[in-house]
Amino acid sequence: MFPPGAWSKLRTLFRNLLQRERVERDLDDELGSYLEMLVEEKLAAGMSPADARRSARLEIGGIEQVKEIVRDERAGAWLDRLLHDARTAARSLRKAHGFAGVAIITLAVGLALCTVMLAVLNAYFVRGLPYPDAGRLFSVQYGPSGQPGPRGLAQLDWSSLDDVVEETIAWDLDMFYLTDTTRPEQAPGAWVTPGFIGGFGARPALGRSFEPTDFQNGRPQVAIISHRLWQNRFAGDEGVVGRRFTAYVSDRPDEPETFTIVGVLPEGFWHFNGYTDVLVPLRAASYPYYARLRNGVAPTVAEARITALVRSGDTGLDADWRVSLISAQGRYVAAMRPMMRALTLAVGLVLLITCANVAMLFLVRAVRRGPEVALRLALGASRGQVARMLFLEGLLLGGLATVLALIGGHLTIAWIGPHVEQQLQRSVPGGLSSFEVGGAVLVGTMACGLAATIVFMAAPLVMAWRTRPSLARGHARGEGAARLRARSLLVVCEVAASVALLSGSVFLISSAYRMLQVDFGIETERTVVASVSLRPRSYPDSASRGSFFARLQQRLEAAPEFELAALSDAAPLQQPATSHVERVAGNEVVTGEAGVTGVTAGYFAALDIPLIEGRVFDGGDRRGGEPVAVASQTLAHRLAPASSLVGRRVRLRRDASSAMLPSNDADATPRDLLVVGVVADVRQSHTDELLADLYLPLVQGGPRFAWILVRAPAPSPVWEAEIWSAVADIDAGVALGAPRVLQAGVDTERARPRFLASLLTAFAAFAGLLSLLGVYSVISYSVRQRRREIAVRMAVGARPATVACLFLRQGATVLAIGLVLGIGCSVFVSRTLEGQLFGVQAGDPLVLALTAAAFAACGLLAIAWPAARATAIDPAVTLRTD
Amino acid sequence: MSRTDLMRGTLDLLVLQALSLEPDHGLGVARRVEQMTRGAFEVNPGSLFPALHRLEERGWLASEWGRSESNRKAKFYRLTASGQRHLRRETENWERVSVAMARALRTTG
Repeated sequence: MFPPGAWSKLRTLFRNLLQRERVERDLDDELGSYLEMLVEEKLAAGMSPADARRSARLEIGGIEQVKEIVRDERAGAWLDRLLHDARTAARSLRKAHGFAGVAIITLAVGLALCTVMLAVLNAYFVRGLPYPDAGRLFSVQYGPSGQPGPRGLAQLDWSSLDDVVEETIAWDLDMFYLTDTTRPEQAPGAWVTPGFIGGFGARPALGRSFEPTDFQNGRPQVAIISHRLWQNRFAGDEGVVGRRFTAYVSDRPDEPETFTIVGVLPEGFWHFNGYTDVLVPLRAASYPYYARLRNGVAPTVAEARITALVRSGDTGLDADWRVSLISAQGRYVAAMRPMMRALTLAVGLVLLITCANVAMLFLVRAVRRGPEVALRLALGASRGQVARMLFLEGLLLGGLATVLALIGGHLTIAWIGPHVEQQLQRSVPGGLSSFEVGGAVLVGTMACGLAATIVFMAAPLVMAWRTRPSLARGHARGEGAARLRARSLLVVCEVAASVALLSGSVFLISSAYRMLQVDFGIETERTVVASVSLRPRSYPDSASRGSFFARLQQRLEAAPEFELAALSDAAPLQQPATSHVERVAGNEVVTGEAGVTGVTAGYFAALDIPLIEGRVFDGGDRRGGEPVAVASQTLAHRLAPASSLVGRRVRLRRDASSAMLPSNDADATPRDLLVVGVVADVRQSHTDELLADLYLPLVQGGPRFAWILVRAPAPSPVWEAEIWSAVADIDAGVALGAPRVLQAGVDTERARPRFLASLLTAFAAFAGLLSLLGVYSVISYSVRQRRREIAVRMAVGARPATVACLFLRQGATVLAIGLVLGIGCSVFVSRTLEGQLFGVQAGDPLVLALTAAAFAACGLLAIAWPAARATAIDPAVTLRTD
Repeated sequence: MSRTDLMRGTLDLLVLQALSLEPDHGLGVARRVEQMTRGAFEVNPGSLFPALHRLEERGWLASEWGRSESNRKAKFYRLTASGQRHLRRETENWERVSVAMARALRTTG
């Protein structure tokens, strides 16, 4: 088990380390008694006492040396030496607290960024989703996305795949309108298959799970509710199991349904879509979106089996059509991967720059410490010992910075946690509490700290190894030059990394700026929208729906709180369904694609869409009247390039793709419309390229869903209440969505690039500052180093400008090499940002050139300052004192 | 050079051998080794004490404070059971090696 003697060695190791004093005293006594006995021996041999003592001492040859040899022999002697050296290193750092403070703080900032980044990566990418055996959960993709799925999916017999698939998971998201108390509430929930419970481990903490009978049609409806709903709506009632509640669901909006609560989910239950307040058994035929594979089944095997199963249900599939499985985890984080890649790269660059800066600080210090090191070497220290001391100093510094970084990272995470979730638009798997400085992040940060230490110590160690300082003052000139070269190299790296970061941030800033510049053509700041949906049973035909909307429009206009009110069948800033619009001009047909929106008369005024020609809708455009339309400028120009479209007829033809969407408008036959007006173009999203739009009078269509748009002088909670009451006045049974200001949607769309831009800008600013400091310090060091030379030059008549040029040229060379390398890196950095950019091309040479120019300007300032100082040198003073 | 510098392993073996009869203090061990080797090896404190401490840390020796013949306080070392085993094993090794060495040197020489 143990090698022989291991136990006694371990025991003595502890004794040596913990009872150092006793061990030392023992050795002292032992040697003392040895000496005395030796003296006795010599006395017995007939020596005089004085001679005996002297001869005994000679024989021992130095008690202290003997002790030193014994100490070296002891177990743990190396540790002893290390501790001793560490104490010396700590002392030397304490003495140079200015240097140590700057270095530690610089490094700690870099490492704290690392900690936070690692915590994010750990929470989203490493830990996995918080489900039992989450590695076996896969999302099932039926063929390439964006194409119509195969037929007969819901009728397949999945039990035939029992040996491969353990659980098939399907759910149908739904909003449950809980109405049985005075406070109606919307609870996001889902109709789920048995596999949902098993696959996601949604086992109730209170009550029971679903049983097979719960999934049979005709049985009483049961529900498992979330911990949140239990606490908020049922006040944490222990007897909640067995209680009933009534809810409308959007699938069957006409009659309320009653559910018996059978269980409550545990507090920590997390599901990636968040629709888990009410879980109810899905009784309709469905097909799985997710599947849990059996243990040991390879995804490729399962893919082949599922593909074969789906083919058996739809023989019309292409030969190369196949099902693909994507890990649940991978699918969850797929959208944030590009952003994470960019941020990780940025954090890595910042850390490298901080390392370069700390390395330079060490090199500066090495010059100041030259005499001390020389003394050590002269007294017999080996170069290895000197290097070891230096490395220990670095290690100590890196260790302190790591501790600070962990503390800083921990505080930062507690502070930015909720923002990170919001910006990534993904909740942290397992809840916010799993976004923390835990074991893995701790180890990762320490590894980064150690790696950083090795990186920043490399140059100082090499320099320390290569140089042999002499005790003579003003030692070898070549050595100063070598250090300067090393530092110039570090500055080149710093400048390159900074320029890369800076260009990344400039790309993102210009992208965020271009987004801000996008003019949607509509008023978004003061417009509130809310969705209205009509139940088919109460409003069976478009005539009844049209009259409801006509009354709602009147009621909203009458409300004093609103300046303007309108209805539309598609929410602004969402892409409406598109159709083909044709105009027959003579014997040729001009067609164009256009977004088609049904609106009420006040729509254009409410959204500030200017009228260009003709008129907008008015009270005369009612149901049964002449079908009319308003075209956007782009559409009008497309259909009638040479003349005006107003007063002409166009034909609307729904195209094949939009016919597959759930139709909001039952009437799909081509219709002839009279164009009565042309309005300005609007954009529905930042990337909207289809500016051709056609507006129809909403009341002539009569859709099932519509959006209320109101405008008021200032946002206030009264809006919300007023919208509710306006709808309830006409029909209290109409489902109304939560009102929101239009601008909120725009802001959300702009938030992510802005977040990334501000983060990267902060990184770049920090990095840029450090590297400018680096440029400055190299030149100012060089000026100090060449003071005598400058003095001599000036004494023999060199002009100040010539002297300054000397240093400007030196600095500019370093800067230029750094810039060139940096632009090379920028191309790489900007490539990782592709897909995050809007309106600016990744690697745009103009952006790169501007970034480089801006950095060069700052860099020249950092050079000019110390260079100017060189010209202020007084030759008389310098030559006398130096 | 009449006196040979002791190799480390050899000294360890000699110290163990010296203590195999009875416990003794540092000076006693030194004198006994000199006696056993008939003065061929001189043991100085700079190698004796590290050896004693090394062997004690390995668990082959144990030490305790006692009184010398002249009634002086001294640290006495004794061979432990595992030290005895080690000594036996190393003695056998040594004998085998020395016989082999002697034979080898005889045949070539």
